[in-house]
Amino acid sequence: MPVRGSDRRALTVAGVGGFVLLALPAAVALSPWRLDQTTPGTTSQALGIAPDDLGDAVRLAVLLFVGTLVPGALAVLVLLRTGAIDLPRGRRFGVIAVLSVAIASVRTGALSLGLPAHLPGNLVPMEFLLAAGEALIALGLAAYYVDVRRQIRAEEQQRLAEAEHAARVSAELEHEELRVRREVSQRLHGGLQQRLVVAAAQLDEIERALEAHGEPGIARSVHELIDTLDTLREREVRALAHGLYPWAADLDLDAALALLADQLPPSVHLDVRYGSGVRPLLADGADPTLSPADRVALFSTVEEGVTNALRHGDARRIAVAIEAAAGHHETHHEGELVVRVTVDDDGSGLTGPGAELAGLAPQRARARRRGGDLTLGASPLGGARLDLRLPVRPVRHEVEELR
Amino acid sequence: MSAAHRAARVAIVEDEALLLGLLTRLVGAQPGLEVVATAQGQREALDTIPAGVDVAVLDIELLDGNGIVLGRALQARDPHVRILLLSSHNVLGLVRSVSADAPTPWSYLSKRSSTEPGLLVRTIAAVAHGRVVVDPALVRRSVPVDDSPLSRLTAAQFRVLQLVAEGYGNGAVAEDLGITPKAVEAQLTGIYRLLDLPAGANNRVAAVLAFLQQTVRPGA
Repeated sequence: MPVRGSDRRALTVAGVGGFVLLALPAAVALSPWRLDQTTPGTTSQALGIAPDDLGDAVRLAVLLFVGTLVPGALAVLVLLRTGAIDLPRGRRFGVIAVLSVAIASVRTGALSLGLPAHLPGNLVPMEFLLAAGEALIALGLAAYYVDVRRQIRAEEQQRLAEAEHAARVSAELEHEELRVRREVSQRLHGGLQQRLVVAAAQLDEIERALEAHGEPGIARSVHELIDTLDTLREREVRALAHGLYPWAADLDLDAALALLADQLPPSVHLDVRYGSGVRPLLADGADPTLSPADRVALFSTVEEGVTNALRHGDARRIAVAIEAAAGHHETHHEGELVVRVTVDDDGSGLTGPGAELAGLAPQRARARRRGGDLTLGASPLGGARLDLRLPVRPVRHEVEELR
Repeated sequence: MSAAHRAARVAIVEDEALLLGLLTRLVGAQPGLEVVATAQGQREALDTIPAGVDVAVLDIELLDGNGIVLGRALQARDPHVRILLLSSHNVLGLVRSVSADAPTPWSYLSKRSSTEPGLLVRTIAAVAHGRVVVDPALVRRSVPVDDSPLSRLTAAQFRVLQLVAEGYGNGAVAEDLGITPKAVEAQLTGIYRLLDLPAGANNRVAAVLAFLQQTVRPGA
């Protein structure tokens, strides 16, 4: 994990801040002088400061402060500029140790300069060791702080990468599932249904031949068989193909809903309204437009809502409203929209809790997986209201194809 | 319609090469019909279909895009083009919603019907002559929407309107029902009055459009 600009700032603040803290006790040089005002002849004597000379004490304090802060700040600069902060820990510790010795030398030098008299011999190495230790801790902590920051960032990036990977895998799976569903659905529709048509036509000939040969009983059985085949083809195979993949979802959403409206009982009035936010996605040649997966999700939900209204609610009027708006930036990806679909009916409403949601469970799971939701409640029209919020990501045409 | 005096110019757009070949042969062999362009995709169709085409026969599923978008684009370019959609699915709901704001209502034939040579040729000829044709199998499954003007037609009137929606002329309707052409005309007058069709409009087309708008095909 490389060092970033923010790491440089953090190292500068932590390092220089550390040395400011270390430099502050230089004021200690003033306290012996203060103390000696009341109890003369103690510390300041040991340091060789004249107890009545304030100027000496101030000069010493300033020299100690500057003599700590300036080499400390320079050492931080060296760590940053030479790239020493990026070295492996052992070698970096070596650099920090060398820098600490340098800082200690400067500080001890400043101390000697500030004292009017020579220090007692044993005080110099003690002061030197103390300064070096302090500098080592200050630089070490600043470097460690940068390490911790980098590690937190690395973990965060890994977490994000894993989340993104999971989302991509999930989207790929969804796309692949849809592709397979579509293919199987087409084979059922194009292949199996056509064969059943041909088989029925051949049985037709047999039926005619049997009648011509004076076998009305067997001919009638064959006729019943043809009826069974036709029912199988018209209902079972078609329902199966539709359940796998609603063919209409290959068209625009509005076209698919127009097809749905044509297959309702004559007593039902279906009203579909599109909001201004969703229209641009549905226009001829719209680019970007709804992805096949999103079209299927939206169409299936409306279809299931309409079916519920008819089957359980005995509705005569069904109102569908579709609108899209930009998602919240914190929780959604760039370019993502949230489509809201409501299906209202004037039927008898919800009878058993949760019962009507059974058929909607896959749609609800899909919506929740994407950060949306699907709920069933009371409608202003008197019956039930199905309410879907589905985050969608409009796609460009070239990546849209399922084929 | 000028197509009455010369061969009707037909364009066929179908993504399956075999079916495209079959349709082209069927239509091309028919006196009075001339195939002037064929294409398998939406873009190719827009590039190759010349001006002055009378009928565009469009499959809904195309290599790129779909027949609905293509039909709208063709009519935007030339409002006189009449559209005949082909599909293996029931797309009548779509034809109805597209026809509501198209220059001329669209016609629709299921793919199964389109491979019946007689039916396909008769349909294209009818469309070229300005009629609107709806797939016979779906016409037979149509039910009037409750409380619509169409639901007030008598059973006999509804049957006449069904045959008109299939693209038959008065003579053929009369023959099918075993009545005189005059009786058919009388029935139609009654139908137009009940449906309250605007005066001066092409009543026959308006009646088929009303048929599309006021019927459904439950479960079809």
